[in-house]
Amino acid sequence: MLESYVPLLIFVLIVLGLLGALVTLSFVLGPSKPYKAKLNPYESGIVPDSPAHRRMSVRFYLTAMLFIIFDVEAVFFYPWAVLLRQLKWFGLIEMGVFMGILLVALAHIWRKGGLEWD
Amino acid sequence: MTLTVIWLLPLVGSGLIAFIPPRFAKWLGVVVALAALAVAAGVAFSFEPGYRGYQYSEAVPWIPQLRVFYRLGVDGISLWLVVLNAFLTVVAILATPIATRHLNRFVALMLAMSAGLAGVFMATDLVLFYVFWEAMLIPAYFLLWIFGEGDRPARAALKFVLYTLAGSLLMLVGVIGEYVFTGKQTFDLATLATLAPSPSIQFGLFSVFALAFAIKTPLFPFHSWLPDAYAAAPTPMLITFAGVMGKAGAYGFLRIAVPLFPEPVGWWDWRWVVPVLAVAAIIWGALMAIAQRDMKLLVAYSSVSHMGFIVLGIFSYNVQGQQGAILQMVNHGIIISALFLIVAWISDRAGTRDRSAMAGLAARMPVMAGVFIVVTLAALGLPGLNSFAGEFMTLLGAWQRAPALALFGAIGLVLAPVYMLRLFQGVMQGPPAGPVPRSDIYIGQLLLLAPLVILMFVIGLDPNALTSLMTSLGQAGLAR
Amino acid sequence: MSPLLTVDLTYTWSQALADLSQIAAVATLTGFFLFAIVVDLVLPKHRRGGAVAMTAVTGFAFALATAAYRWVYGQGGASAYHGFATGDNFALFFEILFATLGILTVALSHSYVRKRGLLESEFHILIMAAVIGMMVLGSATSLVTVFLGLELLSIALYIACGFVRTESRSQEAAAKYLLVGGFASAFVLYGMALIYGGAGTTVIPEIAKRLDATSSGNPLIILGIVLMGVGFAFKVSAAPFHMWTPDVYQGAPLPVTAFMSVGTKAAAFAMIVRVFSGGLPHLAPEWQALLAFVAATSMVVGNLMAIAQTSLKRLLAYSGVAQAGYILIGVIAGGQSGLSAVLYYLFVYMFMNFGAFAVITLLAGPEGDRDRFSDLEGLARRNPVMAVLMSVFMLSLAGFPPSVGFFGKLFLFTAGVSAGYTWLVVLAVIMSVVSVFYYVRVLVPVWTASARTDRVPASISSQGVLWLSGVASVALGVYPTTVLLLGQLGANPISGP
Repeated sequence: MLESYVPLLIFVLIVLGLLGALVTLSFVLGPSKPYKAKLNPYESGIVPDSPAHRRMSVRFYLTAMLFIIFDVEAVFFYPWAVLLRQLKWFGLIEMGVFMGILLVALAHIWRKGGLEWD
Repeated sequence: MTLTVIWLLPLVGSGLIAFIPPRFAKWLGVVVALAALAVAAGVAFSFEPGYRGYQYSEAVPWIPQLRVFYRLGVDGISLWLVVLNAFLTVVAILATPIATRHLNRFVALMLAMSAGLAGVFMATDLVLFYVFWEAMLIPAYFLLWIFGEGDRPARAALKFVLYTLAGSLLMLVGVIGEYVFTGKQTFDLATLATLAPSPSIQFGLFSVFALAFAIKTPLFPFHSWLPDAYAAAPTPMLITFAGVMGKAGAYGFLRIAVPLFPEPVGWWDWRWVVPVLAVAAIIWGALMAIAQRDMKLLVAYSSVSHMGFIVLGIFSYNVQGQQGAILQMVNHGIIISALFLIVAWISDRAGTRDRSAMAGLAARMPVMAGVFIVVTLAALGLPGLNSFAGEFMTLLGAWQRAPALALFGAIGLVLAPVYMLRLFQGVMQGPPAGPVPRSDIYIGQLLLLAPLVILMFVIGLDPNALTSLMTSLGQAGLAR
Repeated sequence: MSPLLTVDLTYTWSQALADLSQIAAVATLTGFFLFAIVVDLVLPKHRRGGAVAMTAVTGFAFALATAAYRWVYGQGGASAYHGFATGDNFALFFEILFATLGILTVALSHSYVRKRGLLESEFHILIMAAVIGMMVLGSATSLVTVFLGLELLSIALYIACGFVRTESRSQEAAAKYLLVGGFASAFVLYGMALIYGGAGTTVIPEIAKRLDATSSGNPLIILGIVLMGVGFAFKVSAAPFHMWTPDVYQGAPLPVTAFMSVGTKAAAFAMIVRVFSGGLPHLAPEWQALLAFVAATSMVVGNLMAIAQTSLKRLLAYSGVAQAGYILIGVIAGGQSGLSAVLYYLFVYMFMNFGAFAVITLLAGPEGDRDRFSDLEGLARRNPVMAVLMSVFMLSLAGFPPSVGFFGKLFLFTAGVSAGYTWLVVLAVIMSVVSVFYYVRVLVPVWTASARTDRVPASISSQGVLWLSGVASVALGVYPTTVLLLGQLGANPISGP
């Protein structure tokens, strides 16, 4: 019963030990000679011209999230479209229900102002 | 139905009284309590001695899944406790000062506690017993806390509840253990008394039950909640609190611990440990009583000593001892109520509970002194008064079991006059000193004490009236 | 021909209807959920809140009626949607429970949301979404559906926790809950993946058939059980995975706390019972050892930590941790007696715990929640009914007879001792003594004389919630048979009669 957890325990210990060893070793062995250019954030080799901690409008995230949600939902149309003939009328109605739900969601977002930038 | 009425009537009355104006509360409460007493007395009058099994028994399936029944019944053990509870509830409510704040709540809680106690004594199903056992804690807690005396009644109340719960929740494991380990899956006390599990399991179950009962009784060394709780309790509450609730623990020993576990032997033999603890309680309680200056605490510790006699009688495992124990439960209920009332009235008039601060009160209050001496003599076990027969029987029973128990127990009889007479003499006799009492005992108070004092004489002269009914037993496994 | 197209795709109308009827309550509620969104869109602003609340209550009532109808007249729990869901008594039991909880929540939160000026209709819609998630958890018979329900429930609650947008504490609660909840979900998902890897199916009854006692040698299965166990323990807020509970409970708006303290717990227990008791019966020794450890830790940590709390919300949070420990005893004990005790306890826990939170909710003012002990001062004068009911809830949570709390514990502990877990029951009993200390401590300010005289107003619907919870907390204890019988019938599909 409990004995069967022993391999798990050993596994956890090995992982922790390995992690600790790697971090410690790289810290101890690795040469560390920092200077300004090295400490700069790396942006494809181009010298950054402004701080990276810039405020971005929260609308950006909202729009991105809404896009992803509807994007993922839309994926369901592909298998449905491939199999439409086999699913017959039932499949069509089912997809109608699905689209109906999506439409309610879209209407909700629209009406609540989720699609307006300001 | 009759027995249901005995506990349901006060409970319903309690619910009603909580919502009526305080000025009607006391009298309605008295009416309800009297009605319950009338029913209980009716049961006692038509009680059949020598009957085998529970009388007036009721059994209704309650939780069929676990074979829990709503089972009530009385036998020779519980009958007198039911009557005592009903009787002392009337006395307690009558003794309640009309000026008490939130009088309606007080009376309601008193009735609720009395209902719970009645249920404990009548229940013959282990779960039902447990339900009543714990449910009565709720009103007791609120009574102690809201109406308590002293600086920190809330603390005393919490201490009391936690102490009692520590025992009784473990008892829940015992209740469940009885259900599981006897193999029959029943909570019926009469059936369980015929099924004893193996001694080691008996030992475990006995331990948890005995702990609950020992704390409630209270038995040495589980008594440390008692001084605080008794000191904090208002006097009317003390009448049922000390007079009846303490008996619930002793009753539990007699009803459950003794018959259900005839051989509780494991790491040690409980059949010897408990009586030794009882003797320790007798002596310890008496010594502590001698050391007290606070009159209320003195009476409280005397109660520990007297409860020791009761437990000693129960664990003598013979007829005399156990009948003596039941008799003594009734006696002690009557005496302790009278003592607490008198002590409270004296300290009301004198303005202090310190017995060393007053002397010679008899000159100012001769009637009070007269009543007090009767009760004092009853408490120290004078032949002809009620306590004598009970204590004598318990010691006789203990002697038959083991003379040493009786000999050491008898030390309590020697010490009782020391603290009781010292209390009486110090307060009442000698040249008057200290505070001057405002008045002698009121006529109403005298009338309230009258039935208690009369009972002391009646039971003292004819204890057989009580013991003759104790021959009816509801379950096997008792000493007879 | 690709293999995909060889799958039989015939799905007849009668099959569709039969499948739908199995999840009738969920479907009904989902319909009302969509309708509520539309109502919110079309009505003028000032009428939206009330209309959506009405829609929500109606939806819950219909779902309740549907579940009750199917309980009485239903054809039992046939497997629906290729074994992904079912409408057996277990599912129906939880549908009834959650629909009741939904009604209670909307009734309680209606005036609260108005008083604090929060978005009304969104609030009720979120609660509906969470209830749908909970119901899905009750009727899920596939690991995939379980996860679906779990996420639906969790996401709705993440938002609800942070519903007071101007209060940093509420935001903190939402963030914490989101992080820890996501963490827990990941654990659960990882565990499910491993179980799938070991069993080759996600359908729970199928898993039960394919895995037997010899599977305990399979590291995939063992690791899967451990990972799911950890995730489940997070969700029922059992120690040592309870750290989020006090912070989230404290920060979330009170009706949300009340809702999740009962709902999430019940839903998570439904999930545990479905997956562990239903899906891995032959591996019981493995997860019983795990859950016994979690139960013991929960009871000790929850009860001891609750003593030191000064905030009522945090106190109840820790009390919830402890209660999760008690309930786990029933799951560990298993069998009809153990599982029916779990269902009984969850059902009555709804009333006593929700009632306690309801009392605190009514203390809240427009500026925020008031959950200090001192806020209860003089309640006996300010609102005697609430004072009495609060006492009932506290004493019930502490397990005093004749309240439901006592009988719940009696059933759980009886099952525990019968199954040989006496040590766990003894521990539970000892910790119950500790719990009395802090439950009674809540009552001290309620009944102590105080100079405060300001009334505590309560809307009609909140009063209804209080009374219903209070009466149920006593009545279902004095007469526990019916709910226990429902619990037994509900447990049957998992445990067998």
